[in-house]
Amino acid sequence: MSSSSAPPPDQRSPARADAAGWTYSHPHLLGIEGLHALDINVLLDEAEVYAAHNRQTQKRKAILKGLTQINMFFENSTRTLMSFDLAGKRLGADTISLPVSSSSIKKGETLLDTALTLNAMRPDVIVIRHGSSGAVKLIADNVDCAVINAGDGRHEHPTQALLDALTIRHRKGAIEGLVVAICGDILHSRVARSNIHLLLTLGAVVRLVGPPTLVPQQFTDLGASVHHDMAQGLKDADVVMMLRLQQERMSGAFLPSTREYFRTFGLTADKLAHAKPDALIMHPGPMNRGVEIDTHIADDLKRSGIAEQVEMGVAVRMACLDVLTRAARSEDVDV
Amino acid sequence: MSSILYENAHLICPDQNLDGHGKLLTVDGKISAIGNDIIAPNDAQVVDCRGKILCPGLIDLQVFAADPAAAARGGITTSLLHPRAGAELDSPSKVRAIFAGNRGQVARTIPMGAATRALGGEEMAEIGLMKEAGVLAFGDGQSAMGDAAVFMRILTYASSFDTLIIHAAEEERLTQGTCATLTDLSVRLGLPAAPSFAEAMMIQRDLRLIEATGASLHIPIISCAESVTLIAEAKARGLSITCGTTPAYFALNEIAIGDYRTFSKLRPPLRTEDDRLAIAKGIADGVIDVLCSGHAPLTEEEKRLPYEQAEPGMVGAETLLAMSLTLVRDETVSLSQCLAMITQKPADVLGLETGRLAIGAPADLALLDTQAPWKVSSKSLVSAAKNTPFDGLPVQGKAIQTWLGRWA
Repeated sequence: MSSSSAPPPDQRSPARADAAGWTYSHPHLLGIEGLHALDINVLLDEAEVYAAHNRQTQKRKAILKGLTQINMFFENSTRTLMSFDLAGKRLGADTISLPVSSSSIKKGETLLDTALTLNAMRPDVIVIRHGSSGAVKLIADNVDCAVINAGDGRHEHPTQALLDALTIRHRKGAIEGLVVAICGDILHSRVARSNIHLLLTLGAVVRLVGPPTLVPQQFTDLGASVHHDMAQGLKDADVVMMLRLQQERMSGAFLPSTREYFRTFGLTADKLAHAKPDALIMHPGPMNRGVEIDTHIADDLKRSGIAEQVEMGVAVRMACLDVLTRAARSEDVDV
Repeated sequence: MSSILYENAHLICPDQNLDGHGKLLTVDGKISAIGNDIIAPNDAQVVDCRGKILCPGLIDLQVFAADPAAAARGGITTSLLHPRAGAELDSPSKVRAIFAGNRGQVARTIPMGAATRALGGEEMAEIGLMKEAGVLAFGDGQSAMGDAAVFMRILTYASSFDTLIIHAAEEERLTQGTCATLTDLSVRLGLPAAPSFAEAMMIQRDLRLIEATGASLHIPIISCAESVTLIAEAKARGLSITCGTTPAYFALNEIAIGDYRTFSKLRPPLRTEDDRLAIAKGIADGVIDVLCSGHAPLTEEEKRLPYEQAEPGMVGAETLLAMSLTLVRDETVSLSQCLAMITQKPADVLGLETGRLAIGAPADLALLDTQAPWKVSSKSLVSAAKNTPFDGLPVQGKAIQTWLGRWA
């Protein structure tokens, strides 16, 4: 597989194609949808290197030295914000985090203004989370630097899907051919959407499992199968990915009660028994123990990849920051 | 006596079955003669139409702001202003203010009275007094009257005044908080979405209510296949129902929202390609009576927002004619049928004297060049707002000039 130029993507299984020599050519990372399998593999391969690097004591690199990274979170987040901040710092970037409470941005009018203000500060990369689908693209269209989507509404959360993929790759070797069951509130989940696109692009079989109010049939058009029964959805699955059930969905509008949800769709030992014996259990966090996942299963280190997901998160974000600023960095001669 | 003689015109009037070369004379704002051998008064002003189409001025049954400059540019002489939050049109004084605002304007805006106070959908507005003030139709604009008991009483009450009710077809319990049609596209974009049958459900309810009350109902916009079927059946049963649509629903489908293009965010939201085709067929079959603009000028601040937060709506007055004429070029309808949908039929729905080239009718006229090519460009719109979903589209058909006649 010598590849001095970009390999022709359609000549072999793109899911398994060697990403060496392929260049991620998108200016931003706004979503997984629309990325080529090779784009995804480039990011995962880079992240792999950073994952190894992060296990050293000396973690600081200088490749983003002098670059400015702004993290703008219009929605509350602790772990994703920290993960991006840490990733930037480990690469030597100057990072600024602006947690914008939702109350101060009551009207979206200021969103573009805020973006333009930020742009005037000449950042090299902006990481944005926003509660509205498409909001990150709106900002990306109006700034001059690279933008990373850290979650927009129900739309996408691409770095989460990438870190999930990296975790799966670590535990399972490859993604192609795996059966992945994504369980819970698919309708409102950007994590689910990004994962569906990524896993299908890399050749996995994706099953969506949950109550019909949270897993509408329209998802089958994305290429996944829809199941409303855990036993059926989890049957022989290689990976079981649980989603967080948002508090506001539990109060009767979509589900009668948390205990009924846990009974029918919570991940318990008896339901997990339908999956393969070595099935990997994942959760994007933070978990509602006893709602979507049984606490003993969450803590089963052999089967749960939950801690590893967090670890891979930093590596994936380092890779994204590195790859997305590469073009800009190569323009500066005096670096 | 002021007279205008329109010479060398291609006169088209679907109502009078008129389609040919000739002259038209207006005296004191009324049409006084049509033919080839008209003797005009000596002081008559002469307009050489250069063989272009002289037809009734266009009548637009749905706008959300008075925008006479945009209307006149689009060949529209009369626009029906729907009430909306902030301009509720729910009292005689408010509707009189709209009539009064027409003085000196290049196009006429007539108010649709609110059916309920403050568009609240609960207490009846003063329908009788507003009718006295000149209002021809009542309804709550885009807010649907969800309470069937309230709506039934309004239909019953209005029928005693022999007035038309215009009702948006939207089951708001289903559409609340949503901004797209529930399809794989909206699921992928992560947009809160409602099924298109939210429209059909409301139509079904309303059909039952007009059957029970004997009232007349006009639905300003239908946008999906199921609605076309329902209305076709209702018409076959003889119910007194008419409906319209805007060019967006036969020219665009949900793909136009693309990567969150807020200029394509409309209410109702754009539908699937199957729905678009059904709307075009509904037009061809005569199920859909009128084409309206849905003219809703919105500022940059209202549109340049994340998709969910952006206001729905489009400016449409300046593109109504050209977009309607696309139906002639793709042979959905004939030119005469097309013009009927924007002149005579909307006039009939409202019970206006205009919309036809008839002796004695008000001389609301439009001179059209239906072939003139141009490109829709948001920048060149005369409307204060630029939110057109057709930006960049090459089209044909322009209004050269419009004239306002005298209403009784």
